[in-house]
Amino acid sequence: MSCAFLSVNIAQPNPLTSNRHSTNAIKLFSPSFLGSTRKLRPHSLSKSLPSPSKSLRSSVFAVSDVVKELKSNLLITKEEGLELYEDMILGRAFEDMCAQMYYRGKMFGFVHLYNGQEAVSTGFIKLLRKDDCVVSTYRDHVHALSKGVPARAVMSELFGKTTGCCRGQGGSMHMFDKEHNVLGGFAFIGEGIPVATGAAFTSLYKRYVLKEADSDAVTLAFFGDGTCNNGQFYECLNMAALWKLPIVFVVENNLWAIGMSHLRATSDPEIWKKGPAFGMSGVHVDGMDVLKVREVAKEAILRARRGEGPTLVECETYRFRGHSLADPDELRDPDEKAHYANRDPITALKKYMIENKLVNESELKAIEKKIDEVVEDAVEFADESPLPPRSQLLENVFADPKGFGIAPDGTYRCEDPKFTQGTAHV
Amino acid sequence: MATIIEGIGATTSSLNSDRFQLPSRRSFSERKGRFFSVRSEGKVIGGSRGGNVSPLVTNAVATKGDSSTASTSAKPGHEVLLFEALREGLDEEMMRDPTVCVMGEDVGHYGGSYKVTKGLAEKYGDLRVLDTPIAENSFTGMGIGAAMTGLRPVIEGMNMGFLLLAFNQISNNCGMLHYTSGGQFKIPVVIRGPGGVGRQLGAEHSQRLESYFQSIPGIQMVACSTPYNAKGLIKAAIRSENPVIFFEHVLLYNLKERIPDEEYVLSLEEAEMVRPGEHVTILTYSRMRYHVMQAAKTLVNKGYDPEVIDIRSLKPFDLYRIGNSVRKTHRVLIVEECMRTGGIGASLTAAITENFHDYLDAPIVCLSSQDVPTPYAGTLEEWTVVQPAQIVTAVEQLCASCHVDCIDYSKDYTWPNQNKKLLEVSSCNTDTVLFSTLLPNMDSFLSMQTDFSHESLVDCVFTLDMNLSECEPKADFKQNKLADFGTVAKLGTVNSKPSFNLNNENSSIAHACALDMSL
Repeated sequence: MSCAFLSVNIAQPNPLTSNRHSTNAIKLFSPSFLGSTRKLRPHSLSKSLPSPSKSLRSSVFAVSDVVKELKSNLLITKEEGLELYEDMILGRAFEDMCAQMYYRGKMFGFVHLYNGQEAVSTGFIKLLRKDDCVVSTYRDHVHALSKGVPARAVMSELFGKTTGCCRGQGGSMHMFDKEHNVLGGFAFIGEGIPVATGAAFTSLYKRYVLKEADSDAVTLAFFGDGTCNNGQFYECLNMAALWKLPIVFVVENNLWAIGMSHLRATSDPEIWKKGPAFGMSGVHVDGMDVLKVREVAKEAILRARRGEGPTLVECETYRFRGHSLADPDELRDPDEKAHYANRDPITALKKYMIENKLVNESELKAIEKKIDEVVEDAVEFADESPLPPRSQLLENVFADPKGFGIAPDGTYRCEDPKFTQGTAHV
Repeated sequence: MATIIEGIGATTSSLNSDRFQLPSRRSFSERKGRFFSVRSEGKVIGGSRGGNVSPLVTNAVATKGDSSTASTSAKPGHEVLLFEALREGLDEEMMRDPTVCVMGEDVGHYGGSYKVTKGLAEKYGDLRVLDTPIAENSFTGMGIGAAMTGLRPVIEGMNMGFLLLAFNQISNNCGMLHYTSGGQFKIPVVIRGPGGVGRQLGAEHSQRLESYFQSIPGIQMVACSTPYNAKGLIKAAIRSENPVIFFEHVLLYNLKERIPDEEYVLSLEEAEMVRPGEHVTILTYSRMRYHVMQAAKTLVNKGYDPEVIDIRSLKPFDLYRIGNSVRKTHRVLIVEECMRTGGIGASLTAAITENFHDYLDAPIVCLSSQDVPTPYAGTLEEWTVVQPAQIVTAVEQLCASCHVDCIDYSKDYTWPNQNKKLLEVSSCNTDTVLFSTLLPNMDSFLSMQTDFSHESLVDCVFTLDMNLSECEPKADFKQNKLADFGTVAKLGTVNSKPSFNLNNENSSIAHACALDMSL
């Protein structure tokens, strides 16, 4: 079928005539899109900035019932549009501020920024309820923000202050929030997918064992193209499809895993195809267009909520910055970057809304201004927050601190008031 | 009904002069090769301290295959095999709390490869006793995700060795997630499975993972060894808010014991006193407990009195009960099935040395399995694991050796009896009242014994009456070491200030010894 390295004229992949429940139409890709790192996927190159109606039909492969039922041509209302715009601007402004703060020495370590991928986060997470769960990777700031974690909490966490969402103990790669059901933030890729599967399992368990009939919380697992070569991904696809767990696997395929091009690492780069192999729907969507993502997301989430099982959604997207702030980003072709920069999701949405007379410029400017203030406030708050004191060192190691054991004098170590400072021998 | 066995703490509360108790069964003439221990404690140890006090089995000498007759209940309970005890524990917890679920390979319809979960799937359904595909890393992660969102899964590894595949999830998520989330999510999972060396199962099925997991911060590890503690510990583990790794042993599943009918939960952090004793503390866990008890029978016949403690809690160590025992016996032998390098014994040795170094009279001896992948051949396999004969030899060696705490004077002075060793010198104690009451009592005791000759003396302790006005806390030896061995002879008085390396004292002793050894 497909060759790994040589760009030869390969036979086109056969359409997947699956008689299972995945009814998605399969697009035939043009040949030789598997090639060297400098080759781009032809279908993306040939497209110009998509106009709303045309793009709907050509790139969204889910047979979207929602789309068919729409009376008007427009996919969103004004309120929804403003909400989406605000969320994407927040993500962008926040990440830009992160970069600034990093270079000023306010945060350290590995910081992975989400610039360019906002459409995926906004498109999916804005459809969720509060009790739905989101599991992410190390590129998780914007997922947390979209889910509703206050910008202040995220910025403080990045600064390592005690007012951060994880009390400064997690950092950039471990954003957790119980109230908004953000289950992390994982540093190793693929590590979060089983956790997401577990959260979906709980939802199923609550419905069928604990008999909570209204338990239909959906879990979204976000991860990248590199993760799709990892065993945990496949194991969880199997289990989720097997038990029809209410989960959506969202692949943010930005074509690069640090410096490894997706095409160089994967025998079959079409990730959405791996869904039907496990008996679940596999969908490919243009991840630079928030409206398309949203449509696909609606269907996937509804499917999960109805108990019909998981979906694998591959979002073709791109990160404008390097893998992390420490990445010199020398391998990527400037043409490729320019191409995707032209498809900036924020600009696209703005254009859509203005062309369709949903909003006017001043409203959008007002949003941008508001977000600027929010981010500034977040930085101020984080700056002024205190650093964690010594007594916080061992505080959350155990949920039940009796786990530290019994000291030679017979008392539990946790009964010693100074113990959390880490001065006692363990 | 509940008997609390806690070393010496239960019997002595404070040291005063009329509290010296001598083991009556030892007469002085029999002392050769034995230890004469005066039971005294320099420290005040209160009655029963240390968290939960739980009923303990006394003298459970259950060798594999024998039925144990130990029971802590006044009325008879019911006899179970260890895997049935585990199942009972699981069943009771699942009935009590609907969020408790089991997941693992072949736990449901098959009933568990060691029959621990037999019958549970029929009772609770396929979702509560979940048969997973063979994907350890992922279903362990799934259990962790479920725990974060409100369930209490019990994850079974068909063999502990398979959990190596789940190391990513166990280390990163199970152990660390509570901390990296700033305390927002708790992970009340129990990860259980049988491990240890079985009957010619081959290298990969005979692994002991306790050493690999012990560094992971945020988890607790327990090892069960009897049906009684298996049931109690699994219940405690399920009820605990912390992630617990529960080690079972392949060869112990068919142990039979009578356990109470009523519900009981043991403490996860406490060690179990299996057999109280005087001479040496033997620390062990899991299957080695039975090898130790077998060796203990031999040792008792030979006249030794080992104290056997099943540490149960592999992380964290119960340093209270262990410490009490060390303070009493001053000799420690650790018998474990873990590998020599970096095993539980190694950590335990470090912990005991750190905390109780002053109480030790000999280096801690650690008997572990050989650092070798467990061979298939039966004979080779037998030699990788510690056998009772080795334990007996080790105890004998340990009891025979005494560490000379100061300079060995035998070079400079010809002892009439070559077996005599200078054991303990001077004690500068900050508690002057204590010290000054000690000496006269030792002295008066000595004068009561008129029929000893120095040929029967094996070990001697020389104490000096010190001028204690300028005592330095650094030179603080504990009282019980003084009184522990042999007779006490009051030699003389040293009026100088205690020196850091006891050089003054040592030279005074040498001098005194040279002058007068006619005891």
